Amino acid sequence: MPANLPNESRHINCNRKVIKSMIQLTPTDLSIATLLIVALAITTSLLQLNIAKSILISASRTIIQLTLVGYVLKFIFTEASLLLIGCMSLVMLAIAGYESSSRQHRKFHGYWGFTLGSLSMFVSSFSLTFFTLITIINTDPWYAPQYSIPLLGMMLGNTLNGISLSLDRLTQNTWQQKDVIENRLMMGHTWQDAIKNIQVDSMKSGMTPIINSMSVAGIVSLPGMMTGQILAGANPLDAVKYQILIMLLITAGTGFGTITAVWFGSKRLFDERQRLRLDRLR
Amino acid sequence: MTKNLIKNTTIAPILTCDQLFSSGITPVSIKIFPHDRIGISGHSGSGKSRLLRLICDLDPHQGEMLLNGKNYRNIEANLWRQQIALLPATSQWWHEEILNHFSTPPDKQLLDQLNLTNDILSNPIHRLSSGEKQRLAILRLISQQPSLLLLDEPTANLDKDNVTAVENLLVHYCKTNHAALIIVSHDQTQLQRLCQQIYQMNQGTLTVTEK
Repeated sequence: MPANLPNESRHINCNRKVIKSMIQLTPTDLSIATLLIVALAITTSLLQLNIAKSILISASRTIIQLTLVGYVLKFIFTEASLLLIGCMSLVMLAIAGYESSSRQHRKFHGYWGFTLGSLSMFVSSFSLTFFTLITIINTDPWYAPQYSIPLLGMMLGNTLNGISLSLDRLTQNTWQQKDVIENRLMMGHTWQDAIKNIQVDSMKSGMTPIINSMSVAGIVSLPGMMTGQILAGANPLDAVKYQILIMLLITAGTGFGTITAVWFGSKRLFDERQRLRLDRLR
Repeated sequence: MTKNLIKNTTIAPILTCDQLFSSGITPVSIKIFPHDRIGISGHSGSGKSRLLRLICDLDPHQGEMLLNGKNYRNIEANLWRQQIALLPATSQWWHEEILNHFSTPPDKQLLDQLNLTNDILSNPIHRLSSGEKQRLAILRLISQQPSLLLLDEPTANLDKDNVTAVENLLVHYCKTNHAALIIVSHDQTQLQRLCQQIYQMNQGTLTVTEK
């Protein structure tokens, strides 16, 4: 199939296949899977692992949250208004920003952590999703929700990990190596020199997981999106193309997001007189 | 006092602190001239180290500081600290090898003076004793040629011979570089030996003690 078919015919093609081959899941099917979770909960409580409660709660959250988001997406897909999609993406960004800052062992004081998280998520996910929609996938309109929302969701979910990992490493290491950093400052090193090792380390630790998963993609793991498309009846070769695109985007997003987060985060750890300000962490 | 007045007309001070203070330190006004060696004694926790950190501009503070007549706000913080460098009570090392901590390796003569051999520079950090690290930290600090040395208990880990060696080195450094030093020490006899003027730090307040 030529790659540059007009978008419309691509859609029709996909839809037909979906109708033909995707097997609808019934509530009974899901109940069977639920039973497995209940069995796991019982087993863990017999083993006194003390996590039965959190298994059940988070399983319920998954069911409820995903069901709700299904209805929301259905509504958005039929409306397809830019305003609605914009609101939805901002909510997603805000939650991701909040999550990225709340997972840290030592957080920045006040709104700074949230702002930093959101800014990095914005750089990593928002801008790249927008860029992809208008230049690579070429949807019509560019905000077509069937593409924009899942794409943004995948970008946010995956870059979130790298960003929060790198920020956590940055603040933890800075806290632990406070004396070293200050000793360097005492000798007249610039703040950039004094924290450079930690910056490098934090950026690397943020990017390592995605680099690892790129190298095993398809061998050890079949990525979720591709699996989904194949289940829905798409040609595996088409699914693979999308998956490659997504992997590359996620890596680029994680990389740029991590660099942004670590750069602004470490700048915030020093004041205008290049003093280490750990009082800005809690 | 009269000594300072005479100096004032001929030589400009390296550092002028005007009502320098932060929480826990009462305002300090002091002028430090080339060749000055000033001692500060006082109980642990009285604010001696905190005062050194203020002068080095490592902590937020109120009041003015001038370096050679120039306000600290007009001097990049790292350049300020290159001129007014602080030796912490425990030195820190961040590279594997000693040598990598020096921008210019210390010459043999300086190492000799502190009873260190040239080989020590290629040793990994964890092989060194705390006394060796302390002496190397002093060499590392003066290799940057600061004009004011702030020394926080520089000889606490050293035996008697090395204490003398370090003191001689510091005095010599100030003489040849027209530099000054402020030293914090628990050892009264050391301050008597080394300093022209001794201050007492008591609960954040600095007072002159007559020598």
